[in-house]
Amino acid sequence: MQENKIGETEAIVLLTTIMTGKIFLTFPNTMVGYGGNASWLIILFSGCLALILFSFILRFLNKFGGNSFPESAENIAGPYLGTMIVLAVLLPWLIDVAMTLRKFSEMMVIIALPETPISVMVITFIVASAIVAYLGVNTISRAAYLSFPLSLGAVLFIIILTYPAWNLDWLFPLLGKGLDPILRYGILRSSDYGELNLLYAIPLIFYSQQIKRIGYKSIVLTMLIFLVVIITYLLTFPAVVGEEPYLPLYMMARGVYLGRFLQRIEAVFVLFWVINGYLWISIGIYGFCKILCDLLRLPDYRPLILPTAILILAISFIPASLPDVVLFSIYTYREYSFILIFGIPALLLLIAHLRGKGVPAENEAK
Amino acid sequence: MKLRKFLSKALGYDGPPTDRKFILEETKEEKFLAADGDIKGDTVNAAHPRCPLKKPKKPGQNEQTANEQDTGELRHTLSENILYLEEKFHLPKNKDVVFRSFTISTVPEVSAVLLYLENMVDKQAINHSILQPLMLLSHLNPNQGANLATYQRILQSYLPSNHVRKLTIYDEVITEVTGGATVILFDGCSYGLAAETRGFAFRNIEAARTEQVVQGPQEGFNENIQDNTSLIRKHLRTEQLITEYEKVGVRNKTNVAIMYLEDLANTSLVKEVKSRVTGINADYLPESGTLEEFIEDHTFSLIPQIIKTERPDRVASMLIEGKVAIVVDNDPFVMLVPTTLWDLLHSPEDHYVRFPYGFWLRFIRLAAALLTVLLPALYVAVATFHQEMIPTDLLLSIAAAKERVPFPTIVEVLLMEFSFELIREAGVRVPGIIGPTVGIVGTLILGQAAVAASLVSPILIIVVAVTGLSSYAIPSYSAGFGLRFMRFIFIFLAATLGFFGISTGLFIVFCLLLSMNSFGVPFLAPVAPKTVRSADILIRYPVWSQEQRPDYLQTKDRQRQVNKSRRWLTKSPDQRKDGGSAGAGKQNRRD
Repeated sequence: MQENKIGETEAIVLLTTIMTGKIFLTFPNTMVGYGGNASWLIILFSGCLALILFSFILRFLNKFGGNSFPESAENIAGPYLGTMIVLAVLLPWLIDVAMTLRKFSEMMVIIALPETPISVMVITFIVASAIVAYLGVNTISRAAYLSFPLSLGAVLFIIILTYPAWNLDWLFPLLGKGLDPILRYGILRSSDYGELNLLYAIPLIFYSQQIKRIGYKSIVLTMLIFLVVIITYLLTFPAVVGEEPYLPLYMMARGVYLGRFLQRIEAVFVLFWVINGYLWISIGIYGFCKILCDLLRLPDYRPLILPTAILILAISFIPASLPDVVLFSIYTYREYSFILIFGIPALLLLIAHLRGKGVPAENEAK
Repeated sequence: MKLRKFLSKALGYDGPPTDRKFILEETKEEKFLAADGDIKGDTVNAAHPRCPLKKPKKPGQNEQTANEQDTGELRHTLSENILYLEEKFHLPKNKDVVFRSFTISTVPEVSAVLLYLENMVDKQAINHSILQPLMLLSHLNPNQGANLATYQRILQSYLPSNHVRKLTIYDEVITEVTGGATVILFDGCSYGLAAETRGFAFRNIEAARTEQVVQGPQEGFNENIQDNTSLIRKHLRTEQLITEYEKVGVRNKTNVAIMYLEDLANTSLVKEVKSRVTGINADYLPESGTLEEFIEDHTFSLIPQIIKTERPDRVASMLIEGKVAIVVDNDPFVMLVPTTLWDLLHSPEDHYVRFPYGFWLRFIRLAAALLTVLLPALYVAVATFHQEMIPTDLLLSIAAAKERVPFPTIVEVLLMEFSFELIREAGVRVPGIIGPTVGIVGTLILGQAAVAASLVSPILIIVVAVTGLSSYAIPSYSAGFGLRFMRFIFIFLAATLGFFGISTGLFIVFCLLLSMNSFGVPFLAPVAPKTVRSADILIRYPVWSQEQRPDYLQTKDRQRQVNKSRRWLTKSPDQRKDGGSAGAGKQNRRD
């Protein structure tokens, strides 16, 4: 039943795909809003910070990797505190998935189907994602592996084709709004690498050497993609204008002009945007159900998918409009979730240290 | 009650599925390599460390019913045997069972009986190689009489038939007789002899009908299992080619041959194939399609997971990759497992023409598969939702063509696609003599009349025609079927949600394909999950660069040919003179 063996490359690609999924949404304009011309420095800083913070996850997995996350949390912190810690991972996870679902659906309404009610989009999204979540993490990671080169190619293609609109002057002044926002938002936006919590929350089978490589490689890859997107975004739109659009990458794609016949290149990319959204939401649903299943000691996660999907559907309709979703998820969740994501392994390590409970997994296995 | 049952089934949960799963496991070294070697002192991070494979269910469980049947042994006296068998064969009601009594010239005379089915045997063979030697030519010791040594001698010296078997139980006698053999029973002996006298009518070897190639071997299988296995053997002349016969079916025992190369095919794969084939507890197995449905992994998938071919050369080339062939009696199609999605897009011709053309053929076929599924759906999506996404000039011409058509696009498309399916189906069923009628009617309906009556736009005719052509460019008949069916689902998705619907459909279809297995091999291997690169998936590389067998088949010998398969490129002129011996040395080292 427990088919959690995925390849190392697949894991790197899966993590990179879901971490970079933000570039299709409001990521570029938010970053430009924070740092102006220097928003690429924020990304550089937050990426490096994530590399450092990842060491908590790595140490935690090296010490307690032999068990599922709820098991180790309860072993370390006791049944009550342990459960609270697991819930501290689960609840933000649920809300994040719901908000992302809403954002992707709203985006599709804006891009492709302006007259379709948002409920139809959200329901379609959740049904398809739930079906795929049912098939398991193997399938999702393989799908990510298949779609990644194509999506990446598509994004790079847009970016290169906006070349005629590039203006180097728009990168200056180099420090943009100043050093203070760069440092402050650099720290806060390390939350952009928050999907790394998949590594410790879902019991995936890896050797610890592999986990190290998976973590570092996916962070660096994600950082590079972010950097390329943001720098070209800054080159294409001046910082003041760049704060405005809700779908920056789509705006860039619309700006592409290849000649009289090929005018609207953005149509091609709808496919990759949708698939990226699906991958994000299905791994979200899968992860939530899997953690819950481990927490409740159930034999199978699949019966939880239907109720989870309904729950996510309900939560995703709480915000009244797209701006509400964006305000909530960007200015609350995305700015402080790094404390939870990297803090929980650190907290567990601390408790284990205080209680003297650091039994390495290899000894346990023996 | 039914509703309640249905509701509890649809909404309730009966615990995790218990069906056993077969996975073609990687070797230990490979697992080690997957971790890039350096894993000394590492820990495995898992709640549930790699579970060992569940042992496949033993086929014995399903054979119980067969054992329960009459296992009665042959009696000592001939009359008892005859009585029993007459009853079994429903004599005298059954008219084509022949019991021919005769005596063997010994002193005292031994009475014997020949048992065969009238039209299943070659009468010449019976006369010349059974009756004649036993009745006239046997110079048996007159004093020997009816004892065991006599029959031993008969078996060894007096039956000039190529294949003689000793039978001890009634069931064997019945199986042999119904299979076309002639059984000889003797008085005073508790066993019989079956001599090979098969002589029923079957089709000759002809050119393959459904998988034609321009260049390359033309012959195809026929309905005779012996001919089919011999055709495969003709291509693979090696002692390593194993043919195992199994009898499948409870009421009618159909002959099924399982063929593989002993030194290549993965042992657990062969075991799994045998366990599935012998594990069928069904009444009757008429041909390979039925067997396919019994043994495949995902019955409800639109895409087949077992490849069927009527070309011996194709079977041979797949056996040499390490696959297992299943030949069913009375059917000209041979099944090969495991199958991946890419196999369904391959045709033997890719290898029979030069590399650039093979490469181009593959590309065309991939495009055909995508067009079959997506073209009508894209047309519907663009015409219904995303008019702004197509260039203005094209939009204008589409709009102009559609101007006089009274239907919405979806109705128009469904009308034409359904008509196309009708023509296809009618074309298959129509008697040969009036075949051309279908063509004429089809052309008139689809082509001219529909446009002239402004029922559909001319652009749609092009779309439907291209889709139809594409669907027949796919070499696998059942994959073509699956894709054609899938096209309708995509049309509906496009009509409801436009590009978004199509993307959703594609995502789900790909994920379903990714989650599928064919005899323990992931259906999209070696692309996802990623294994060792293969030189023959979508792109066919030159044949000298195809050095490895597909990794996912876990064959016993990975290397197909040495890395420098063209010896003359690697040697100096001096070495070339004694090239043969050096090459043989290299070959040995590899082994």
